[in-house]
Amino acid sequence: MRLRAVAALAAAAAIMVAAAAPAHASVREYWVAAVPVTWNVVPNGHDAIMDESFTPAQTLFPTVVYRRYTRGWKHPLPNSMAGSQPGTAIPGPLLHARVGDRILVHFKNEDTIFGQPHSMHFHGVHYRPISDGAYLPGFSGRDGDVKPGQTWTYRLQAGRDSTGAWPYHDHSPSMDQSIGGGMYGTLSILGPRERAPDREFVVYFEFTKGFATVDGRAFVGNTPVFRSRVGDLVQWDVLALGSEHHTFHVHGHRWREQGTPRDTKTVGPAESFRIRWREDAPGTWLYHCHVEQHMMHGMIGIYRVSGRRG
Amino acid sequence: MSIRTLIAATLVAALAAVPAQADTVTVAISDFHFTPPQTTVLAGDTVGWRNGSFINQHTVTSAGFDSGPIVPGGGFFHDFADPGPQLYACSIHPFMTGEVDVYRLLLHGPDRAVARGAATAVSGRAAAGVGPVSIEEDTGAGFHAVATAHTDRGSFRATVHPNANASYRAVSGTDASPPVQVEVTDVSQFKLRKARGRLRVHVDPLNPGARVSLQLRLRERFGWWTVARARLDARSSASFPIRLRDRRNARARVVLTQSDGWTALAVSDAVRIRARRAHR
Repeated sequence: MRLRAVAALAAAAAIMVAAAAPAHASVREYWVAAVPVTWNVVPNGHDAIMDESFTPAQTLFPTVVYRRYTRGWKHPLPNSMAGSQPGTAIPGPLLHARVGDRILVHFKNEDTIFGQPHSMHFHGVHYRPISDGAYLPGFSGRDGDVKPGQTWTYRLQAGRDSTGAWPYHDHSPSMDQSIGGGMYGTLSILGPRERAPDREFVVYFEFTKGFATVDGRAFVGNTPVFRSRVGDLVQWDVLALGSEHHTFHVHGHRWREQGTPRDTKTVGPAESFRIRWREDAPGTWLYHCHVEQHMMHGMIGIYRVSGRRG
Repeated sequence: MSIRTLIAATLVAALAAVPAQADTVTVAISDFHFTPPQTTVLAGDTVGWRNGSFINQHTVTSAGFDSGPIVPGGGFFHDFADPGPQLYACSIHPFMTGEVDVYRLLLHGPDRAVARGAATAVSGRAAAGVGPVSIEEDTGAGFHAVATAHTDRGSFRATVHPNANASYRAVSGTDASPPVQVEVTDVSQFKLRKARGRLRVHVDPLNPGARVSLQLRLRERFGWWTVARARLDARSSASFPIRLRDRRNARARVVLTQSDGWTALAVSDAVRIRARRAHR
């Protein structure tokens, strides 16, 4: 009788362990499509700081972007996670994983406006060449040249050296046009036992339709309005694409890099970094690229910190 | 004849007696005038005159018919079968004249200006024996066909998309309706109404299918910010849920846009909206 009870307990424990195991090294599946949208770089129609107005003819353009979907591309999903910026199409979906995870990204090309091939090429993770997503005539396969209507699954592994916020982007024959049109996004990978932040903000520096943009938008009010509360652990994922370097700066805040306090950090094409701090500065603050021409042409936004939750 | 045969015969007679969309138009006789002095009817329609005078007798007299004296409070009816103009007068007071214009096709358009390019319904009636009907448009360069009408028991309807002020007529063989004028406007009027946590909008002139956006005036957006989108329904109306983030109330407005969803065609006045319950 006692032996049977012990055996039952052991079986129950084994089931619990088995159920708990995937929490450490799971398979993350994402469904992403390249879809056409009409994107407005300056939705409020003006640069509020310099008091300059723009018409939709100057700021509106048709483009193709990455969009996240439910399994089987059945229903579209918001691109961003809670605490980030709702309703965005640029950048593409913020994809999450943890070191040790396998990541399957199912990609479908639904580019019906340009009829161009597209792909997804990921930085920071491990994969075989067939999941590289880069076009190289005579060498690469369908991964780097997914034609309209076709699909491809990229099989990635978040290794021990994959902790960080990494860019992904189109690397197909159309990449020159499509990256400028917004075909890029972020793969955010936590360390093995790293705590997820309360707020995660994605800041992507790139040029869009001639404007210097953060996440595809230009000038305060149009660029993301990031929000947090005093006490939140906030994480900034800062990335850049294109052909220029940028200097990320947040007003009223500092962070440490190898022991040295910083409030500005450089990011070049396809580079990326994460910054974390425990928020302690309520108020409305600016964040921007400190390359002055970039700032004046739109790479500037606001960050709003409210008081501690009551 | 059996009762069953009698019932069947009565039913057939009743079905045959269904009027072919015939109409009766009334003309008033008062103050020594026929009102309206000119009437347009479909072949087969009836016109009735009613003498509204307290003391004077009148007649309705033309080459084809004569009412004889109509006493005060009395009336006269005449069926018009043949197309063409029919002039008439009062034989007692010859200065009182009127006209009935008879057509085998009649067309009706919207009773007010429509939005440029909007889907605009036109409808009409055809006399017995009239074949398939097409709708023709004239914007100054002459009539040309723009739509085929769907006909049902002498009534027909079609949808046109006027891009400029235009005349429309219904045509079938050698028959044509008198033209109707459709005026196009770029000026839209908005009616906003707040009810049950939603903001309802009606846009005049009718513009079914057109895109509208709800915008809020937000300090952190440094201007007007689109927070919801919709399309106008068949009655040119739409409704938006009122969702306010971190605030109890805000100024709101509705923008009628081009198909790109951004380029504004018309903007409503701003109204203040209040959230039932502020939520993030």
